[in-house]
Amino acid sequence: MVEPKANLAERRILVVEDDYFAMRDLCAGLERLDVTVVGPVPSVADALALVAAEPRIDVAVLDVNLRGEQVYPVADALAVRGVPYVFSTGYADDVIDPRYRHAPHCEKPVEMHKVEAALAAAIGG
Amino acid sequence: MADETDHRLLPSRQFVPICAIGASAGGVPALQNLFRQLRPDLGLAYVIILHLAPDYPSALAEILAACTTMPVFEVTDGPPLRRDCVFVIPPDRELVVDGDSVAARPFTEPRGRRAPVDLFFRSIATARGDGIAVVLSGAGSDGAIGVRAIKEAGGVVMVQEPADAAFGSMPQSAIATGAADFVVPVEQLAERIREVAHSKDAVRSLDMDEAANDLRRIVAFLRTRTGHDFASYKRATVMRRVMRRMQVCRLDTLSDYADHLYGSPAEAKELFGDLLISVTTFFRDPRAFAALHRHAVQPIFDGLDPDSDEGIRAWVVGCATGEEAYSIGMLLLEELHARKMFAPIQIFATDLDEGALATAREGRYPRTIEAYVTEERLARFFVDEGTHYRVRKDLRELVLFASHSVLKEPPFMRLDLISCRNLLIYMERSLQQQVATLFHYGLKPGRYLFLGSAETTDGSAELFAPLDRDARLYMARPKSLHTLPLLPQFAAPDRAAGTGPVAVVPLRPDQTGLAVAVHMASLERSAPPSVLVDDGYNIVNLSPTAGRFLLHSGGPPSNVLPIVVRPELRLDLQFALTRAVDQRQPTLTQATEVAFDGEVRRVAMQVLPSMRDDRMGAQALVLFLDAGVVSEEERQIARLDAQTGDVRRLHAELKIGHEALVASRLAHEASIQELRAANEELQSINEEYRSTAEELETSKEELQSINEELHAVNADMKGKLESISVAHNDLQNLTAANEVGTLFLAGDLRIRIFTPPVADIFNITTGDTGRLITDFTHRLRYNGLVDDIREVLSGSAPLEREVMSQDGLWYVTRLRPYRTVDNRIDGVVVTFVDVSARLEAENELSRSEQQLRTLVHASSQVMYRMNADWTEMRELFGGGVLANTDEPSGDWLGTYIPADERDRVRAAIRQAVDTRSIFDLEHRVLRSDGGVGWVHSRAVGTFDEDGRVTEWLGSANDVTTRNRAETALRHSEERMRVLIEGMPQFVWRAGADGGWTWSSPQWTTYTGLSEGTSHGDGWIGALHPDDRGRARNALVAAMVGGAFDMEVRIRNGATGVHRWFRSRAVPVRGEHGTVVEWLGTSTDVDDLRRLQQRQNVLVAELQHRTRNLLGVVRATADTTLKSSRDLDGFAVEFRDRLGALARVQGLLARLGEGTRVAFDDLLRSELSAVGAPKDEHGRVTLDGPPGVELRSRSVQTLALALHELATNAAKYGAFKQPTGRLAVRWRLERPDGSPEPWLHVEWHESGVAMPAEGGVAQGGGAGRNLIEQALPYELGAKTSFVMAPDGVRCSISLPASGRPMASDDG
Repeated sequence: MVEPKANLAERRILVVEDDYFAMRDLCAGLERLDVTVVGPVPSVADALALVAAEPRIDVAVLDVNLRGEQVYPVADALAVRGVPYVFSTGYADDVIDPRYRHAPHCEKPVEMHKVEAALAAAIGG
Repeated sequence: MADETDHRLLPSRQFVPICAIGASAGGVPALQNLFRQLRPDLGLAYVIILHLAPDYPSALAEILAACTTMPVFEVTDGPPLRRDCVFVIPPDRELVVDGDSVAARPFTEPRGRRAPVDLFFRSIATARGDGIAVVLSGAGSDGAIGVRAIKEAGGVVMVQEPADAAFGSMPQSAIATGAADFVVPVEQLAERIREVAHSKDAVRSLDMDEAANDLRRIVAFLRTRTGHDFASYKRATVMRRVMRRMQVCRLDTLSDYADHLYGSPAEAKELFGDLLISVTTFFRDPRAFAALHRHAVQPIFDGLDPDSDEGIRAWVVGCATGEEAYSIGMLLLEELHARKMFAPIQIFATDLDEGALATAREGRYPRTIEAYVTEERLARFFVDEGTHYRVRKDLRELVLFASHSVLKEPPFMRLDLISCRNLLIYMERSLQQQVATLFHYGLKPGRYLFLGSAETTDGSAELFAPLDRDARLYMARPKSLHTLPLLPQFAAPDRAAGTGPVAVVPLRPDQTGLAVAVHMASLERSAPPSVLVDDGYNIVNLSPTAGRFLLHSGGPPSNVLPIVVRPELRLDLQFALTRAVDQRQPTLTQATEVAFDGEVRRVAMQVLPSMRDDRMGAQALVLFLDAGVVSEEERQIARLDAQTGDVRRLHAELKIGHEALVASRLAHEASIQELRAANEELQSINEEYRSTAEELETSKEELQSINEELHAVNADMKGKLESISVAHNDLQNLTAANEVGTLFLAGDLRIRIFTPPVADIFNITTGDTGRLITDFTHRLRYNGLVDDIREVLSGSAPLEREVMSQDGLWYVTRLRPYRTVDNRIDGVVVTFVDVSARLEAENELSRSEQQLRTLVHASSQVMYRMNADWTEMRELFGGGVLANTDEPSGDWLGTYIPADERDRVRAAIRQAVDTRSIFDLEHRVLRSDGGVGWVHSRAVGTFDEDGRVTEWLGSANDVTTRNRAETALRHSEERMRVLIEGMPQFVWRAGADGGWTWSSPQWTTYTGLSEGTSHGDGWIGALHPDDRGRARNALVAAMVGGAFDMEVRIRNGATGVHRWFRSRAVPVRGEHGTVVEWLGTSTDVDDLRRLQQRQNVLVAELQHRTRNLLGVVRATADTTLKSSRDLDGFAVEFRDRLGALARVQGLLARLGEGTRVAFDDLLRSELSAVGAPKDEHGRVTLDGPPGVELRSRSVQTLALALHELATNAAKYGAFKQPTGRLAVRWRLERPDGSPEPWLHVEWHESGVAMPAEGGVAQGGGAGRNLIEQALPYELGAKTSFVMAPDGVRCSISLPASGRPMASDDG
């Protein structure tokens, strides 16, 4: 496995997660990796606003189900900007829309090393 | 012709030209057809008279409006007629025209006698004297009288061709009047109307001055053609008729018409007919007829001499079609019957119009005469012939119809009544006077003249005295006229009119100069008295002083000069007049002594033939020359001079001779008078003979037609004779060819005819005809033959014997009476039929029958015979199955057929008997062993020669066993069918190749595809298009793999929705293991699949929740771990928190779909979990609306926050300390601009002793974090958390679902 820290340091990472506790864990984990968290935001609307406003986003972690909404519009907006992303989801793999299955994803409850690996893969890929 | 100015020459000039159309049954289509073709600019006003139902509004106007562009009006009250408009009669009204307006008024006649078409046509004729009348389809004869009136008034009459009309009776009646100018189909009517309208316009613009010339030409030509001079007819009348003909001929100017007239004899005849046409009806002007009856008919009968055989004589002049004559005849007959008298009545009816006379002679009138003739008269004098009435014979025979010109031919004489109505009006006044004189001459003195309503005899007041001026009834004044008045055309049709007897014109001073007058007066004074006489010596004129030479003797005053002149002058005058008239020689007579009163004068006479031209006839002027008084002395001298004896003697002889001559002369004159009278009488009688001759001519024609009929009958008889002859030949041949011996005997037993075979039995030959049969021997063993013959002759029924001949042949001998046409027995017919061969055959048949019977007995089949209607069974052989019936049985049904089967059997029998077909039925029977079995029975009728069924022969098989098996199979199949049709699955069968051969009804019910459509691979059509290929593949695979199992979507035919079905099929294999067919089912698995999908979704959701929950648990554990001092503390705290989580999950799980967790429930749940004190002593206050619903995703985090607050209160706060109090207040608010309401919660603790600042946190880290961080982040909530000195103060505001007890998102 490649040492990922070098890749992620200084990166600006967008976090979209509606669950407070999960967000708190994730953000805490990411900050330990010496990255800058953009957000976090709990909803599609907030996320889209942020994507539109934020000058720099290197990569994103997206919870698939946001208060009953699917996060895919955010993924599309990111793709337009050429920003890679990673899904975090409580569902099984096959719940992700087939169009977005190419993106790496982590199952909840997230484990930080998996997130780190997924982010590295997303950026590297 | 009079050249007076007549303003009525063109009576319709100022009127809108009218086209009146009458129709009845079948008229509406004809009208539609007509108006579709009529050009709308002909300038005519169309008035339509249709027989309408009185009680219903008429749609005729609307109907016609659709056929023409002309405006169509229903006539209401008197609209003015307008060109190019159509006026339609309204229901229950009759129309009359007055000037240029049409009035609709209620019917004046009762229903059944109404003739609105006639009425309207006649009103046109009266009021306008012009117009076009059209008669279209209709039943009845309405219009027939009207068209004649129209024609008489100068209008043009068009009639739809009867063959073209839906109902031809009305057109036919119109045509029968002879008034129709055009008879054409509707298609051509429009064109004719156009032409006539055009011609009418042209006629209106004629130049009248030129017209007068042409008219003279026409009249002159007509006189040469027909011998009738219409010059004295009124010019307006003649003009009107000529113009009418011009319209009919479509000629525009009179001179064109005159040319046409020259070139066409037929046209001369037509014009002549038109000029003669007159209109009359029965009892025309009823008031006048009443007067006639009162003032004329009754006096005639009063004065009737019962001993005279002269009877009553009447003359109807210008009788036209005879109505007038018959009307008078009816009056006379009625009076005759009322008086119960018998007197001969003779009515002469004369006219010039032969066509009209033919109609009159036929005495057949249209039904519309009902309007004029009372019902009693119709019944008394007419025979109802359906569409027409015919005059009865007694009335018909009263009237003699003859062609006769009142102007040209001598009148009838000794008449009691002359009726001459509406003839005089056509004549000039002078002609009228002459005709009046003529009538006076024909009438007996004091008898009656009956004229038309516009005619008088005022010009001849000295001849006729008015009896009833209004009725135009006059009486002939008793005045003797010895000469038949001269008429212009009388006996000299080519003579110019207007010359009467010539009179010496008296000199009138105002016409001459004074000198001339003086001269003439002195001349008159000094001229000798004179008399002008005609060739009959009648005095034409006397000079003023001539009177004294005349001496009237007794008797009727005479006009003849030699009679009235003084006796002394008569002899010389007679002689001189004869010379003057016959030889045109003047004579001067010797002076004769004439004794005047008291003196004797000598008078000579000069008689000069008249110097007038020949046209006047011979006339003579007699001058009396007075030679002065003869004095007594002169007479004496004269006497003395004659004293000589010879002179005396001669004188005496002369005187005797003279006296004898005078006597003979008087006698001669008397006889001349008598002859003259006789001559006149003879002339009249001659007229009557002529009329009679015409009648005879008519009779002769009838005889000719009878003769024709006799010819036809004769031909018919000839034909019959021929056929009799043929029949005779046939009979001969029949006799010769007949193999049955037939012998005809007369009543006395003599031979009449026989056929050849008889000769084999009797020893007779053809020559023996007429001999007694008893004279011959025969070869029969039949001794009673003659006795039998006599018996039949005596009237017994026919006899029949079978006898054998001596050589062993058998004969059937029949004896029948020979009956004549009048059913008299006049002999015997004996027939001998050789039946030897038949008897042989009968024996053979009998043997054969016996054999058959034996065979039947041996058979195991049931055999039977029934009578014709099956009421009786004649015989039945049971064949071991049924009991035998040997005797005929009427109760066979009871014997053989179970009670509940009898109706069916009877029905089949009825069917077979009624249709004479084969009886064929399987039915149950009562077997001879007592059980019930089945037989298949068939029976066939046998027919006699008339085709009647005589009996039925039948046989029956025992099919009991077979039927039981079939019944069981049928029941089994029925159960199967019920099963298949009852189950929810579709069941189907397919052939070995997979093509469907059958499907259960459910398939059709569901898919809407009929079974037939589904056969083969038609069923694939019901599949979802995406599944069809898959289904075909599966079918192919099944052929190989031997099984078919797939899920497909099948379309519901009613809703169009596809549902999932699982279709399976298994092969049915035959004896050799090959697949015979496939049996398949299709089961609806749509609901199952839907449930499975839903389950999958639910499982995924569950996983999601579980994972999230685990995330929460992990976060909780992390938090608790951080805040715990030791493991025990962690355990307690962690368990509490997990408990809170579990409660929330419990609350969420218990909820059904569409329900929410209410805030107060959540609050109470958390409070009770930490053991919060119940609401005792007011320590805990909960205040807010119940049932405020929370969003599902809010519940968990809010519950955890409440849990933290409650736990904190329990451990350190309001619940822990005895003085602590807690108040929770919440409310629901909708902020401005927010789509959803917000829940505001205040958590207010009080009475709590708070630890010092910076002291141990009250476990608030986790709770505070939740409230201040997690709620805003997750739920967008607004929160505050304050540690007040006496307790925690916390407020939470978050969006709520806002609808107490209702649903929102999932």
